Amino acid sequence: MTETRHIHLVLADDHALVLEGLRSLIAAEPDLRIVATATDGERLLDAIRRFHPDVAVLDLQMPYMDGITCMQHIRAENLPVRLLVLSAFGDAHSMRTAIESGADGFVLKTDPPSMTLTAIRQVAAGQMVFPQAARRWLAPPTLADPNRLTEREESVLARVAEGKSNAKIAAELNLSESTIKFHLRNLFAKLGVANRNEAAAKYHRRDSE
Amino acid sequence: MPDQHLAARRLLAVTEEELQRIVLDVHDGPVQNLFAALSQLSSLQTHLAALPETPVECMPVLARVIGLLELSLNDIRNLLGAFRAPEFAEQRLAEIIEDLAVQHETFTGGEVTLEIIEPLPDVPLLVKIALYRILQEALSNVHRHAGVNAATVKAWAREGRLSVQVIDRGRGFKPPLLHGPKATERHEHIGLRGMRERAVLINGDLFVESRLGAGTQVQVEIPFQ
Repeated sequence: MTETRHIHLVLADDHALVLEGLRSLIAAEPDLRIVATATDGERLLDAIRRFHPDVAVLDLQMPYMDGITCMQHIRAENLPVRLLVLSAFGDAHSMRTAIESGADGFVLKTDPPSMTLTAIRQVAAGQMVFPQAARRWLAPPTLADPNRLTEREESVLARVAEGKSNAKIAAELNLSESTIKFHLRNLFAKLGVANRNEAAAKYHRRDSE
Repeated sequence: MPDQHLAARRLLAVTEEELQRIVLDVHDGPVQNLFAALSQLSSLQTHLAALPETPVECMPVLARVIGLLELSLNDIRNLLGAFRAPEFAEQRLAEIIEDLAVQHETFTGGEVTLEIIEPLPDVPLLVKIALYRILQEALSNVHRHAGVNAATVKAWAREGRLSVQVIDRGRGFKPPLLHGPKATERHEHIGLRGMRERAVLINGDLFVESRLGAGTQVQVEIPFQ
């Protein structure tokens, strides 16, 4: 008899009680095994690099590095992990940004926890697991046009074009400066520019077209 | 603008801030705790079911508790739907309407058909918020009262007026009077009155047309420059 391979998981949530609950829930499932937990995005990134899980289950609101930024780093580094967002907010903006940032699934904390277990198995098996309404965004624009900016990158670019500093942009978008730098790196690469002045020039040129 | 109208608009902004704070408090506290409790109980249910001799009266009680907690979380979900992402202020009106439709479909399993004729005008944040809340209430009414799962949202701008409609083919009702001295004061009409008052505060108006068995059409009209 061959031994069934476990699905290895990393869990990330800044609510200790949620992590405790999930640990208990998953412990009762013989095919799932938690290899690490994290309470912020930076630790999650670190845990994924160290433990190579099959699936990361993560909240979007986390300190130091939020879930969206963390997923962008994971995808930028090509870390081979499936990403399942577990969030209490099912708003369209969160779902669309999660899809753009490379999420494989999105489940709600307002749904029964058994749905989280099902979704973990589905994303581990390679499926995309999103609420029906969000599936309109599943053909990612990056496939059609790899240089198309994400919504967040557009917001950052518009502010760069207004001559705002990273600190000012970070404050306006409720993000950290390191996240703004991350977006800048990506959008510079997509626009084929070397610095913020060139990016601003490109923005104004595009706007006047 | 008369002082009274200005004060009412300020009040609208303050109410909105308070609503966002309440939503975030509920998100950070009760929702996380209920989800954690449900996870623990589901785990306990699995363990008990695997025991050779589970006390017979135990499992139905546990299932009942789990069911009640799931129901509470589901109820809270509607409140969380009032959350607006920080990016809301920058979004175009057409995007806001689409996002609202997606959220409504996600939460209710219903279907919203969008007929948006672009371009829609760029309107101030307070107008966006008021429109958003009116549409949210109108869609919520379809879900709760119309007895149907589908709605259509139409939006267009013509001759300095922005119009947004929410239409359903549900059971309909006899619309109450929403303005003037004889305006309805009945508890079940609070939502409708709130929608009209929001519309008036942004210099617009709200019309409700409905007939029993023939569905309902809510239309909000706002002048823009």
